[in-house]
Amino acid sequence: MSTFGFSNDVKILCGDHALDNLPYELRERECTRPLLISDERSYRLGFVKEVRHAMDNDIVALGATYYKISEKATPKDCDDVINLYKAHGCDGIIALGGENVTQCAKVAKLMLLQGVGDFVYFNHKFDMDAEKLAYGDLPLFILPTEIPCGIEATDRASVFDEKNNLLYNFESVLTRASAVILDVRLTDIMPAKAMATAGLGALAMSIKGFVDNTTNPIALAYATSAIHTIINELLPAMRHNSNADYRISIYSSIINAGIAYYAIDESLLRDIATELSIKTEHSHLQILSIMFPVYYKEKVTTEKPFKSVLMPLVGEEEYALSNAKSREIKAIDKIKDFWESVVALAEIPSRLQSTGIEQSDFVKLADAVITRYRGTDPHNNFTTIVKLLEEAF
Amino acid sequence: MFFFAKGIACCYRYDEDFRRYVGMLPDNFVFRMRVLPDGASVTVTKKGDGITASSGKELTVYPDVDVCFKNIEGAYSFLTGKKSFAVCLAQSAFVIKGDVSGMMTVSHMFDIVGSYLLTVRTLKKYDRALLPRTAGVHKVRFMTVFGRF
Amino acid sequence: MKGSRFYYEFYNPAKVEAGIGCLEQAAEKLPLLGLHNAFFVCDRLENNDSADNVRKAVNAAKVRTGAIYVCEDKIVRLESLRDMRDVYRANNCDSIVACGSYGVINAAKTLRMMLAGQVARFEDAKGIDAVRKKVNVPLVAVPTDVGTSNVASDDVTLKDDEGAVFECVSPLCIPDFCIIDPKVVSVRDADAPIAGALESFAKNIEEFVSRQAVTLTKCMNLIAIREVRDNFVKSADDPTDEHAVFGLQKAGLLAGICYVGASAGIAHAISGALASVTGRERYICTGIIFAECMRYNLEVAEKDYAQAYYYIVGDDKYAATPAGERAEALIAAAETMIKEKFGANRLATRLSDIGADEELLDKIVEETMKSYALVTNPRNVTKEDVYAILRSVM
Repeated sequence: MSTFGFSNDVKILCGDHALDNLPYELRERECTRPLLISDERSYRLGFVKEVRHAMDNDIVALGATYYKISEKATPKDCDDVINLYKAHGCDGIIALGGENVTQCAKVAKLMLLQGVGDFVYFNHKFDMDAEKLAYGDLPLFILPTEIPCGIEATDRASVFDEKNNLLYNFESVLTRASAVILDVRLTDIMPAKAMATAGLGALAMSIKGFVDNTTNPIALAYATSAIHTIINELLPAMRHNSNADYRISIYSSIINAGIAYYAIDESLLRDIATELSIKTEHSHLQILSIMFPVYYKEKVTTEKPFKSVLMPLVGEEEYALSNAKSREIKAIDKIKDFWESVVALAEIPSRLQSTGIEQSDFVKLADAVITRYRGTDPHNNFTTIVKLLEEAF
Repeated sequence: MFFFAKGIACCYRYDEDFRRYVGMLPDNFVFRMRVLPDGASVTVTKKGDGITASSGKELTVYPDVDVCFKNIEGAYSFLTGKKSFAVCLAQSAFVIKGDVSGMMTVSHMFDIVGSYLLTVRTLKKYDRALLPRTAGVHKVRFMTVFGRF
Repeated sequence: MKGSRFYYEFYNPAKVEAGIGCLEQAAEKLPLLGLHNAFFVCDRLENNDSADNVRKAVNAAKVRTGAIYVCEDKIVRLESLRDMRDVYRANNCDSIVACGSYGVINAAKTLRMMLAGQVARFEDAKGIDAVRKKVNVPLVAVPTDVGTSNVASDDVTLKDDEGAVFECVSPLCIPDFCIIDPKVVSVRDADAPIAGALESFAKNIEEFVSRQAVTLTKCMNLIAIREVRDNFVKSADDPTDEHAVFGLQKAGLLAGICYVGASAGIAHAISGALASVTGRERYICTGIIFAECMRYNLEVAEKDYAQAYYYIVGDDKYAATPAGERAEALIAAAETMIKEKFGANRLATRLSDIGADEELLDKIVEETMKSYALVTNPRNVTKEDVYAILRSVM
C-alpha cells in the first residue's frame, strides 16, 4: 500500500539579499519586536550587525538581543532565552548562528508555546502529538551563518544536558521555523574541510531519505534534488570556496536533505550517528560523513530500492546505459568514488578512530543504539551495529 | 523613482509600441509602484489620450494595480536594470495588489522603458530582452534627465 | 569574494495525506486542525457518492456539517462566492471542506482566502500575495477528479460580475490539508484519465522549463512525469484502476506544489484563455495547443526537454535516441500521445473543432497576454508569437 503523508510549511528564502526580506516576513506575521539570539562567533563576525541593519525601520525593531548561546545548546540557554523573551515582551524569535543557536531557538519556541518556563518541568510535560492549533504559533526565523545542520526546516530539535549527560530530543510541529533565510552575506567563506564534512553528511542524509521515501514522492524529490546538487557541486564548492553560488547551493541542499532524512520515522543510521555524536562530541553530519559508505556497503542488500539512487548520482544518460542488474553495485561504487575524492581533496578524517572513540566502547554503544532504535527491521540488530562500527573504525 | 517616472512619460511621448500598450489599458487606469512599508513611489495615471507620471511618498490615490516592493533592495535591482520586471516577479520581490492582467501590460511597458534608459551592455550583462527601439535613444535619455513633464 | 545573483523562495504549507482508502484515517486528524462546524462545498448533491463518503468520514471524526453548498461553476463567479460567504456566516461555520473537481476546489480556496484575510470586497483580494492572514479558517480539500493540480497550488481563477476573468495568487489559497484518495474519485468515464494525465503532464513540463524552476521543483516535476508515463495508459484503458488513478493524482499534486515555486508557461496561458473564450474544458484546449507550445519553447528549453524525455520513454528508447534528437522526440511523443488518445475518444484536436475561428483570435490573444504564467515562460512571449501558435492549430 503506497500511502504517504507529508507536511512542511517552512518557507525557504535562499540566495542573494534574502536577508532584506526578513522585515517583510516579520510584518506579514505581525511580529514587531523579535528577540534576536545568536552566539559569540556570529557576533564577532559582524552578522548581528548585518541583521540589525536589515531591521532598521520604524515598524519592526529588535525587542532584545542575546548572543551568549553555548557551543552546544543546553537547557540553561533555553531558559535564558525564554526569560529574556518574556522580560522584553517580544513576539517572535530570530535565530542567527550555527546548529547550537538553531536547536536552542526551536526548543525555546516549543517551551514558550506550551507555556512552560522551566526546562526540567517542561520535559515531563512534553506532548509529542501537540498540534499548532492547540498552542497557536510563534514566528521563528532561522538564519544559518555557518554550514546548516539539516534540522533547520524540520520538526526536530535537541538540547544536550551536560550535567546529567542527557540528550533531550523533541519532535513536534511546534519546533518548526516560520522561515529559513539563507543569505550570502551571512555565510562566511568556509574551509574546504568543513564544506566536505557537511556535504558528505548531507549526501548520507539525502541517500537515506531517497531509499526510505520511495512511496512519498514529495520527500523523494527533496532527497533527489539534494543528491543531485551535492554530487555536482560539492567538489567545485570546495575548490572555489569563495564562490557564493556554489556555497549557497550546497547549503540549501543540506536543508533539503534534512527535510527528506527527518521525514523517515525510524533509521538505524540516524540512531548510530546520534549515539556516536553524543559520545564523541562530533556533529551528526561529521559522523554521517564517516559512517555512510560503510553503512551502505553493508546494507545494500536490505535497502531494496537502492538501485534507483544511481539515477541522481550519475544522471539520466549514464543510468539509461547501465546494466539494470548491476545498478546497485554501480551506485555503491559511485558513492565510494565520490566519497574518496572528497576525503582526499579535503583531507578530512575518514575513520571512526579519528573521533577519539575506542573499540572497547562498541558494545556499550551498540546497546545504546538498540535501545534508541524503534524500527522493526530484523536485520538491524546488535551484531550488525557492532559490525558496522568495526568496519568504520 | 523620479527618473523612472520621467522615463515613462518620455517613452509615452516618443515610442509607438509604448503608446500601443498604454492604449490597451482602460481609461483612468492608475498604476503605482512603491517600496514597503512606506517608501518612495511612482504613480502613472492614464487619462484620455495621455498619461501622467509622478513620484513621491504621498499615497492619495487608489490604484488599479499597486506593485509593492518588499524591500528597497528589490526596487533598486529593478530600477538599475539588474533584474527585469519578470525576474523580480518570478523571485517574489514584490506583492501586487489589484488586477494581475493590467500588471502584465504594465510589465511590457517597463521592458520598453528599460530598453531606452539602460545601455545595451547593461541589458546584455543582466540577460535582459533587447527590444526594438522606435525612437531615438539619446533623445529619450536626454528628455528623461532634463525634460519637463 | 564573488557575488551571487541566485535567489529563490519555496513555500508550500499544504499538509498531504495520500493513499488508496486513506480518507477515514486522514479525516480523524481534522479536529486537530480546528474543524468543528464545517462548511461543505461539493459540485452536486444527488448521486454523489464521493461527497457522501467524505461527509460521513468528516462527521465520524466528530466534525459537524454546518452547511452544504453546491457550486457548479467551472470558473467561480463572484456571485457564487458572495452566496457562499453568506451561507458560511449564517451557519456559524468555522472551517471549509471542499470535495469536488477543479471548480469546487477553486471556489473553496477563494472563500478561504477572503475569510482568513477578512476581505470585505472580493475585488480587494485581486493580485499576488495581496491578502494577509488575519484569522484561522482551516481548509480541507478532497479532489474527486483524476489530476487536480489546483489542490495544492496558490492560484485561483475567478469571473467577475461583468464576466471578465481574473487571477488571484496567495498562500492563503493553499489548502491546509489535502486528502488524496482514489476511492473518492467520482468521474470514471474514459475522458477523465486523459484529462487528468494531460493537465498534469502539460503543467509539469511547463514548470520544469519555467524561468523560476529550481532543482527541487524540477525533481518533483520529473517524478510526476514518470507517474504520468506509468499510469496514463493503464488508467485510460481501465478508469476504475485505483492504483493508476492514484499515480495520476500524485502527478497532479506534485504539479500543484511546484506551481507555487515555478509557476507555468505559455501553454497554461493560452489554454486558460481558450477555455474562457470558448467555454470548453481546459484539458481539451491544452491538448490542442500543447505540442505547438513545446515547439515554440524548444530553442531555449532543448536541454530540459531532452532530460524529461527519459522519464517518458525509459532506458532503452532514451539510450537509443541520439542526444541531439531527444528534445524533438519528447515533443513527438507528446503529440502522438495526445492525438492517439484524443482521436480515440473523439475529442477536439484543432481549434476549429471547438469553435475558435479567426474572429475569436484577437480576443484569445488578448486574454493570453494578460496571464501571469507568461512571466515565467522560458521565452519572452509576444502577441505575434501567440497568433502564430494559434494559427498553426486552426
